[in-house]
Amino acid sequence: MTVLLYAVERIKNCINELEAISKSEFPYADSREALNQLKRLFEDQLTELQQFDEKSNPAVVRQSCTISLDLIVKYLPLLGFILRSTNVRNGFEVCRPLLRLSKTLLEANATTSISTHLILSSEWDFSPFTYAKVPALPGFVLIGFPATESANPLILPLSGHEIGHSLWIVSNKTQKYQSILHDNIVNLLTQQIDRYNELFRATATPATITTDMFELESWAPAQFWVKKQVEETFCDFIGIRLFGTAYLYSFAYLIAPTWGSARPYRYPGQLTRVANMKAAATTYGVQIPENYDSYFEDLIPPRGTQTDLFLLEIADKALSAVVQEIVTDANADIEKANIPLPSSPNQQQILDRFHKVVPPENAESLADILNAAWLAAEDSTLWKGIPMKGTNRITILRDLVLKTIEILDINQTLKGDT
Amino acid sequence: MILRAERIAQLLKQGAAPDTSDPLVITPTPNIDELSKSGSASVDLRLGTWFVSLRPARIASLNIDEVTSEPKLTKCSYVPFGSSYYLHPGNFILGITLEWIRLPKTLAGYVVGKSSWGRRGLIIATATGVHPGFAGCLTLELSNVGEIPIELRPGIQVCQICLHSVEGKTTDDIDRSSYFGRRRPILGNILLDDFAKKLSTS
Repeated sequence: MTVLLYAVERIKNCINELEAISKSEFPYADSREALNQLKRLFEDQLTELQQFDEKSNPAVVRQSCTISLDLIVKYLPLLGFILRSTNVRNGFEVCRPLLRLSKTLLEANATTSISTHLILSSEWDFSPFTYAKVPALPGFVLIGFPATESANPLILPLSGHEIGHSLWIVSNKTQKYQSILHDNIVNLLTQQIDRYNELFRATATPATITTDMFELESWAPAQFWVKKQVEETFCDFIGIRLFGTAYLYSFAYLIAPTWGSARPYRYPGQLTRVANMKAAATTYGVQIPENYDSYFEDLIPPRGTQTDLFLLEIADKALSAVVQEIVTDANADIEKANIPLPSSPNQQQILDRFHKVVPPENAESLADILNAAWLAAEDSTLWKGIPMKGTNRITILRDLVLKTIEILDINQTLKGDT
Repeated sequence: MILRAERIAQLLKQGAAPDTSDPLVITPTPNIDELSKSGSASVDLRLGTWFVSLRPARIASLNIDEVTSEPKLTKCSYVPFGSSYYLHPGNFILGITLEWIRLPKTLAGYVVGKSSWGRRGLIIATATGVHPGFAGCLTLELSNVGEIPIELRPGIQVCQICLHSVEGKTTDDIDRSSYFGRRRPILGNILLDDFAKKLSTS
């Protein structure tokens, strides 16, 4: 077999697998639509490979084989993700209400016209995850919850963070923040030019730090890390603004107090992240759970060379300088979509019904349901007077919350909101 | 005494009020006006989105001496609104009501089929009692005893619940089954009591 035949065979196998997966029982059409779009992508690639013959330029053939392999490497994990969206461990009831929310937010803020789709799936990774920037699937929001938590509606507010990543892309935030972050980094480096020169064994000046290509390359990681940190911070704020206190609880549920790894450079330090979230919550008028700081410990300090740590310090400071702007920015995007803050009176009405083991019919939003759910989960007296056997209270609460979300979906559908 | 639909509608109205401490609730709530005027003695219930079927190839038989885990014995399916589940002749599955029911301590219920479905071969439930104080969706034991496949669609009215008042002193110590507070059908366990165990080992 030649390299070309290998490539053809690999692509055919992918198409066969796509066809097999598309026969699965998908809860909603978006997963199947994603598979159709991916299948077209692979079929186009196959057509291109099959047009080569003995007379074709070997370099062009090899290039096409490389592209085809790159496609497989990129998209194979996504096929697994889409397949897992059929798993009945998922709380399918949340799909349509979450799609409506995503659609409202993203389509109000997109710089170009988009049609929003949502795939909710599970990941064998204990961190909610989104596949952002999938060129073959424009308009798709792809959210994966940890497999062990994917039926737990109490962590659903974290989807706000993942929708934030999609919002970041469709509203072209990277471009918005690019120059301000660049300027912040340059200012910070200029202020510490001696330390920079010492660590990098350089002879930079405030003038050459932005003109000399070697200097630019030296501090480029700081700009990359702060961009990532700003994006993560923006996504946290979107989660808080969409889901209020419930976001803060679900964040703590998932990662408090800390985990055993060193701090990744692309995230702010854990305590900084919590402080920033509290600042955003205060601005938005979102109630912060009592003693919220005490839930968390900082991560193990980041590992790296002295120069890396110096640049991370610069990135951290550059983030800190724009936090308030991000708070305002996240709020503006959500206001543009006319999404209200969670409503305390509605949460209380929902909670009152939960106390009677009844899913309320008057829930106004997903956010209100999830906030009431967290109030119920945190209430140690919930259903104390009700003898229950064979199951525990939190399991019943999860089912009750998911049923409430299903009723919200039914009400929205009956009102004509498809 | 069995409750007339008009009385059920009255109780549902009362149950919707936030200050009712032990309400009768059926959610999504049926149309109260239509129910009041129906002249019947039951409330129609709809089919929910979750189904459980047995996996006959996985076990030799249902052994009552050991607890068989649900995943080994059953396959769970979700059928969204607008899609269908086809129940073929001779097949048996568990479904669930779309409605979440909450009975006060003073009421019990019985789930029965609807004649229009029964005449087409669909049997809805065989273990039909709903105890006072129950809350949750009701598991339906669906079987097609007819000769043609039946298309089931979430949201359709498939059964009805008759409600009865309960006599005797009401207490908080109500027997809550392991099916309490569920939104999906589950198989549950068959547990032998001491009486049956002693007879089995004699």
